[in-house]
Amino acid sequence: MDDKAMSCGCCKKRVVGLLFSLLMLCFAVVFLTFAIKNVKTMISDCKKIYYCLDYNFINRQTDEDIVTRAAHLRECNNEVLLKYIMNSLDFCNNRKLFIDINNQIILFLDLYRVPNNNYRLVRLYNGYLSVCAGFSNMERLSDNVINFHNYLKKKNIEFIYVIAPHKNYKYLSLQPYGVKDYENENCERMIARWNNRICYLDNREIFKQTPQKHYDYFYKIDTHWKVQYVFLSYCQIMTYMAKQFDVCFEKELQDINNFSVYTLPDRYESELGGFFRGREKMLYLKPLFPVKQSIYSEGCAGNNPITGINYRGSYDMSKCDKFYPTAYVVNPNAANRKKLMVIGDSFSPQVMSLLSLSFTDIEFHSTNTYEGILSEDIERFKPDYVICIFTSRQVSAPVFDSFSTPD
Amino acid sequence: MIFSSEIFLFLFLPFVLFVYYCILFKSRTLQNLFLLIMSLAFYAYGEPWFVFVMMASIACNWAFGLLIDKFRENKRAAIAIIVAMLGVNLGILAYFKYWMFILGNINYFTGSYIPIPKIMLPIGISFFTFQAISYVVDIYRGKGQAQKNPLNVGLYIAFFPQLIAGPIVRYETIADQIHNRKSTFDDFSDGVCRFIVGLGKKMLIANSMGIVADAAFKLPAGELSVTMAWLGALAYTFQIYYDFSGYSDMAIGLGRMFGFHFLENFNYPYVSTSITEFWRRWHMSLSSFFRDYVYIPLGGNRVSKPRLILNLFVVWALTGLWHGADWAFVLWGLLFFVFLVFEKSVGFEKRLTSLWFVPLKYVYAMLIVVVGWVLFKAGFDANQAVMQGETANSLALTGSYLQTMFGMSGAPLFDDLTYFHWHETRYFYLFAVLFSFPLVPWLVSKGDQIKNPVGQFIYSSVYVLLFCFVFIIAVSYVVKGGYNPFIYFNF
Repeated sequence: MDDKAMSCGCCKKRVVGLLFSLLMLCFAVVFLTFAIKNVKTMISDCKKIYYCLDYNFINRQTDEDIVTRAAHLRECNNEVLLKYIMNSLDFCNNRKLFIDINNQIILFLDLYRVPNNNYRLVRLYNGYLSVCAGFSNMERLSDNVINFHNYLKKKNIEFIYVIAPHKNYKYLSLQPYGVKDYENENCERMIARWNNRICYLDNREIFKQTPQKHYDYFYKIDTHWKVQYVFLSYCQIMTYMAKQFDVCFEKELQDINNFSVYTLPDRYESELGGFFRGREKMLYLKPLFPVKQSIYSEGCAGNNPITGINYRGSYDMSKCDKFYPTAYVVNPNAANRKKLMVIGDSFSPQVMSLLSLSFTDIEFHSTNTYEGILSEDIERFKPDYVICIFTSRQVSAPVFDSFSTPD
Repeated sequence: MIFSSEIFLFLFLPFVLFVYYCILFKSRTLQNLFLLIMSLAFYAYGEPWFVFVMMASIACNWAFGLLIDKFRENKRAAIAIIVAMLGVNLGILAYFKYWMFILGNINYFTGSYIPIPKIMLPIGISFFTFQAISYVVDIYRGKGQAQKNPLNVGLYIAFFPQLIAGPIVRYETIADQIHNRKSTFDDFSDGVCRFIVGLGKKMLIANSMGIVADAAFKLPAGELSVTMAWLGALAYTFQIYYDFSGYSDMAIGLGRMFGFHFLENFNYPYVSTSITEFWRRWHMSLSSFFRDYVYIPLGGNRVSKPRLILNLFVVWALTGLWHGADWAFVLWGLLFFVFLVFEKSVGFEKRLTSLWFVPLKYVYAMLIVVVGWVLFKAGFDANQAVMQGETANSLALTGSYLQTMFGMSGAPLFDDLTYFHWHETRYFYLFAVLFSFPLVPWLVSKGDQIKNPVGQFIYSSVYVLLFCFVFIIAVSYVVKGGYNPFIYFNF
């Protein structure tokens, strides 16, 4: 290669080198500035990493610890160091920019699979994001629920299992050709295994005749349903309970026109927003008639008393998100002076909030973070009814593990 | 810590470059010390206690280096020191990497029930152990001076760019560079470009191929169609090349950023028309290591034919075994042994040299390589299962997968899963095939010869923009998270 060609080759590489150096310099300066301003935090973070090392080495009890040791340390390191990276990346809003760029590539290449950390995430044909569930024979959860039902039956507590709908609709599947999403099939397997032993309500039947509406009432990017769908689920539950258990379902609560839909400035549904940017404002319902309620979280969650913020005032659905994962809701003017325990995944808080319009006392446990023993909480609270609200994705809800049949 | 992670790209690397060039620029000794400390921190990030294993290895090999330098002329003493050095280094490797495998085989063949302890493998142990061996042997051969300062030995063995995934840097390559390297901006820029190429290969092509490969190899035999089996095998062929060569590019690029010049590790192996040529182009640092430290000391090819075959057998069995503690890896190495012996004995490279035969020879070579990768992947998955406390039969998996590939298992030809994966990765396959050939160097050489100033300006602008584009896209995949496997945990 002659000298001129070599020189041109070097020039363009120098430009790349220069740009890279500037970028590295920016990150280094941001990191060091943050570190210098937060010396105490850095020292405490170093101690935290040291304690992780201690934990991993000294507390190693069994050979299984070896397998989890490195993972735990990496989690610890990530947790500590992530905030420094976040600081660097969030400089000039970089993180969101990169996610946007990645999304544009996916859309440009017409790809359906969305890169993500833990979820099997795809774009449906209508552009909505959906999580795909793997195959499960659902034996463990099904049997645990049956055992739980039998336990409640002995205590004369009525039990309803509510199946929340999966985003990829059973009656109008829009998943890309070739993608295996077993969520609805897993659900059918669970129902078949129950063999009519469990009283259940299937929210997936709500839009059976008008399946397109199902997607209208789901957030586009998030996996959850909108509040209008929540209302329909609430109506289905209350209609059933009114018929079976002589529960009062007031007329004004049956019409969504008696409610207003609102949003809050700082509340978004963005479970998947880290993978496909575009936050959607979270929707809430507020009755147009006055309702007083109290929400507090003392004495909840088994043996771990959680001191959250106590609230007394007008009905506020958004408070149930704030007290998530556990809540104790009192509505002194509700038509049914009964105790209701609601156990559910992330689809359940808003349903529970609507149920508090109809019941005076509700105790709510979220399965995602529940650490108590369900039978103890039932002994303490003595509910008249227990309602479980789950999507079929919850193939192994640990909350029912205490009711599992020994092998 | 891996190169394609946020922690490395946005925290570790900026910090190291900043301190190295902006604070310690006046003292080479302090720069070396800083690089050593940061390399140990890099390793300790994921393996906090195994860093002491590495430090012990550094200390032992530093001592062996001094001893061999002192007793070089005394043949008996030199041999004793070499044997002791091999004992220590290979002993560490044998314990951490092969002990479970050895005990498992003893139990299997003798019917005994020796309890098999669960031993975690320090990441990169195969690489830094071989580098340590290279250090002592190269001193003995007079190809480098023994380092009086153990920190310099530490830097050679533990330098973070090549610590966990190679290339295997020989001491003779780097001996002079520890003290006398020159860090120029041109070198730095070369390193940056190389790093970006590597990052792009890893994040854009290797990871995309990896998703398909994993999907295919995890399917039970009854659910795998013929086309999905081929798609998976080809995907793994590309994944392992782009992941490994991408990592090597990043390592070489990072080394250049600090003024070190490492030798190349890959030279477009998928253009090979024979297995002999393939191994001249694939993982060159490993093949040259085995050539110089095993094959030649055994006599090389200056021996009788039976002895030559035995030498090749030993080298290729060890090559396979180096990649992992499973019979699948040994068989993978011996597969190449068989074809190398065949090619040597028929003079394959000198035959069928007409252009018409090139495609046929290419298909022959690539078919063997792809089948070899199926065996390799089975061994890899089996190792992974063992580390998670499960059992797996790599040979059975290979057998059933290959049967499906060649239509001998009654599997359907096509299924909807194949369609989905093809749809998702069609562009990545295209780029994977294109960049397997030296297309980019050819284009760059043509571009560099443009004499027209406007043309040259346009070409240079496109060059810069492409690098920026590749970097930004690769970083977007890093930031977003997702499938980003580290496939060198076996090593």
